[in-house]
Amino acid sequence: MVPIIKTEGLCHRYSVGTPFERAAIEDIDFEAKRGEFIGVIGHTGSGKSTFIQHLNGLLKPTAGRVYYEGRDIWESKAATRETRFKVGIVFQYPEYQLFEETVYKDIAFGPKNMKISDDEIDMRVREAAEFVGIDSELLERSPFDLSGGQKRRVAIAGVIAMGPSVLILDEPGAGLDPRGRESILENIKRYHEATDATVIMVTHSMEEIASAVDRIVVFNRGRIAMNGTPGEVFSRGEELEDMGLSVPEVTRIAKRLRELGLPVDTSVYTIEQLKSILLSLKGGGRGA
Amino acid sequence: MEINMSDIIKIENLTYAYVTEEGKNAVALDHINLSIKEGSFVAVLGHNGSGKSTLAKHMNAILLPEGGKVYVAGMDTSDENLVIEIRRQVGMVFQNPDNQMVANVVEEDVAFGPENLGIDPNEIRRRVDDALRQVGMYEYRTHAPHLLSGGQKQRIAIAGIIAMRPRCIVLDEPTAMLDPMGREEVISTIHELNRKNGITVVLITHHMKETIDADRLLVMKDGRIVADGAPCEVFKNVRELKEVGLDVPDTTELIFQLNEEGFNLPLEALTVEECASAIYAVLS
Repeated sequence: MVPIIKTEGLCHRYSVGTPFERAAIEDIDFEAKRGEFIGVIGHTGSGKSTFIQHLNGLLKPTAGRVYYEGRDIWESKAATRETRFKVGIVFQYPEYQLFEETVYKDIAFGPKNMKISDDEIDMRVREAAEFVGIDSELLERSPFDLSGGQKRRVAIAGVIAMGPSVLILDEPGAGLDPRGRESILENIKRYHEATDATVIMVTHSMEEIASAVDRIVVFNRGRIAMNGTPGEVFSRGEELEDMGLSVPEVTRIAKRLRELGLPVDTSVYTIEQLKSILLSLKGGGRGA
Repeated sequence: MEINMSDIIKIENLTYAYVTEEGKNAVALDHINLSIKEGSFVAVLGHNGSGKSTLAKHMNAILLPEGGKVYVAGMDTSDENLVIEIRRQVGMVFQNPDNQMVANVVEEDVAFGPENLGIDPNEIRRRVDDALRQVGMYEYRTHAPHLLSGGQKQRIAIAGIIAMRPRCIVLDEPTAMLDPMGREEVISTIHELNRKNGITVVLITHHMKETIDADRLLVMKDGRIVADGAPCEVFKNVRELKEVGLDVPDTTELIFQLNEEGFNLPLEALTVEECASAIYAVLS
């Protein structure tokens, strides 16, 4: 099957021709399948934000190619435009981009530019609001009357309402309290399960990424340094720490226990996983 | 009014209410009493809307009490004549560094505060370099702030405060926009400022991990302080914290869940090392 998104030898240099010229990303070969949930992690400045902006044509590669369903997105103006509707990006702190008079109009802004009927727009707005947990009674309110967490949900709904095949979120939980993070992540998981959309989520929270995604792509110094399941990635804890990333606390506890001599699998990353290992060790110890 | 000079901040019966769009009164702070010792490192946890930012803004007279009193180094924040002096004593760092950048060059941004204090240029030079080294941004001193990452900008904002040499720094979710390494750098920087220079630190955060090394942890809910003590003592109350909408560190959560299955582990084992040792002691 043709990957929904693919990059080949993707490079981007900023400020070309000035003393500040630097490569933000180099030689990125990346593929995402339809329906995949991918986590992207990397230290600040590792190139992950630059990377995602290439996936819907907001940035043009300085070298290399980006394909959407096998077609080069820069092949024609029409191809670029189509990609921008099919690949939706929710930026960091998207609540700062709200501008309409009502929540409804704000969510409807994207779909309105897609030449679809008013009925269809209405349906999409209501569906998107529901996905992110925004009550229909809030739709006629000004987005500026909402709390920070609600504003963020509205901004995410605005992208979902465009019905993207690929939904990209840059740190959707940043700055929210644990309850808010968890709830937004639940909404995203629900959206992913209910649609066949590919979801690519950039995050710094290892715990968050571990429980949600099928695959993790690790960026380091503008390149993809790792690409695998959460267990595969987190078992390379030392390399991650060298890149300025931390491994989940649970993985670190498992690793320490192994160093102390207990037969613990160090690719665990959730409390449940480690708990069940420890419970079986305890049970085994008692039985022996 | 009796003031203990070892308390850099003393809050008495502080109340503060916001008026919402619908014209309702929302109580943000409900009769807070709190003393912060000079030289201590105090972390404040609470979910959004718990009042922790409102409390922080009372600590350098950005907000003034509606009821009660706030004293900074013995000075009443509601006395307008003292506001400038109060802000020299207590510097504030906010969540979003973009809102805190004023200059086009990093070192000029850091120099902005001391310049406004009328400090000698040679001394400013020294302080700026020193502050930038402390936050690990010295090599970026001639860069343009807008070309830096969020984490780098935040460290520069912190340098700008350090350069004013305050007695106390209040940081309102300074790491919310940073990645793990940036977070660790900021947290270890403020711990070092606290240890070496004796600067009092009040750290408002949602990140449990950042509170583990504090001397004292306050938990806020609905405008009130609902827990106050050493972090390892506060985190023992796993159920209560969850009711407040906060998570406990994964170490505590794991121990809590294992104890429910019949392990008998100490809940105050907060660090990975302590937690692993405690589990090992039971299983080996």
